[in-house]
Amino acid sequence: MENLRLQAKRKARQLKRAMPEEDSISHLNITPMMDMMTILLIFFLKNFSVSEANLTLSNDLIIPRSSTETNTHKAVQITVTKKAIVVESGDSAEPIAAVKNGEVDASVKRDGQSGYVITPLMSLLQKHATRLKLIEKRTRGRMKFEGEIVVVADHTTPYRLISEVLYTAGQAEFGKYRLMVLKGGKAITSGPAAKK
Amino acid sequence: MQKIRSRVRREIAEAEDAEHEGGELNLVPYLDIVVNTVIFMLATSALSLTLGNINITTPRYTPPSAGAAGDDNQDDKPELNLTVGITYTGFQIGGSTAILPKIPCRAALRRGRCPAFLASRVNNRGEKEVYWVDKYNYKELSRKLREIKLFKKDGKYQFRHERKVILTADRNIPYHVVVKTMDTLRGKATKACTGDDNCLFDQVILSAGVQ
Repeated sequence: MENLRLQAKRKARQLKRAMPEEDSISHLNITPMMDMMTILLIFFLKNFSVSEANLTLSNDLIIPRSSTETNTHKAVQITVTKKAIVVESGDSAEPIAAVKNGEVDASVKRDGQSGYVITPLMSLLQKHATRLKLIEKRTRGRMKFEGEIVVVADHTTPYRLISEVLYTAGQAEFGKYRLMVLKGGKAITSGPAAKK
Repeated sequence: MQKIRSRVRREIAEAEDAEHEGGELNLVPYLDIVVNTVIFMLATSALSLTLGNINITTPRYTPPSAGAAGDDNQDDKPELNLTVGITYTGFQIGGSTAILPKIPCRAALRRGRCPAFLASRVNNRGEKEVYWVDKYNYKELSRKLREIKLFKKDGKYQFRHERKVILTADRNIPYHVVVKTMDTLRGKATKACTGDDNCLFDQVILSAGVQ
């Protein structure tokens, strides 16, 4: 009997010893987790600053999807929605002309119905061009005027209106166009080489 | 018994001393903030859409001088002047030497036009959603362009380094179709074509529509 009790006691002691000490549980090592968190934080912060463009989409402005991988760029922005054309630069946004059924009214075009130049857009873009050129001059060419323009257009906009906007921009010395799209479209390819 | 108790007390005191000497920072509040920020950023970045750009130019109205022509046309290879037109009935490919037969639509014409319009339907969750009915044959266009890119004459690639393409479209072609065609022209989704990868023609020159 006595022997059995002793054995049980010994067993209990052994088990107790095998268990990890309470002290070590209360003191978790959180340094690796913190490293990870800090790296994640920095990554996200950097990611945030990459996408410079700020865009509010609505029913009147849904931009098309594309398989492009080029990143957005900050420049004078022309937005073509289902209802209006708006020019944005920095913090200012100025409505230019109303759009109806994918067309601007003939009265705002220089050459009437069949014309290409949208007069108010032209004059505003010329103002922007003058301003940007002045900036280039004052900064001695450090902030170069490259004639870049970002076009944000609704996916249903007819080609004619797009080309009118681009033609007008071209007339106002903006010759490099960037069409803003949503990334994530599927690339359309054919042939064996493209399959990988 | 007394001995053991005093030893234990001594050990506890020593451990406490060691902790003080180490001067360990209390990181818990900092960690709270970091975890919160990470979760916030994760949540917002999942919602935001990534934006991209398609770069295009207009045709030059002055003939480029020999120096400005760039690296595309170093030797006596003929200029391609590839032009792709999006017409109401299909794609039209033309070059300086030939005009290919029109690539027709994948479906029957509707009111004389290739169907490309926005339609809406009610999905199985009872929500209304819009989608594109787009019957242009992009696959065939891609195949034809690849054929042009890999065209050989006397065992030599003729247009392997050609990257320019002039794009035109009919008046009422929706922007969606134009962008999709540009995607097809570009081929593999890359930032810039080097001329040797699977890229087709990435330097899009936009031209006025066919009237």
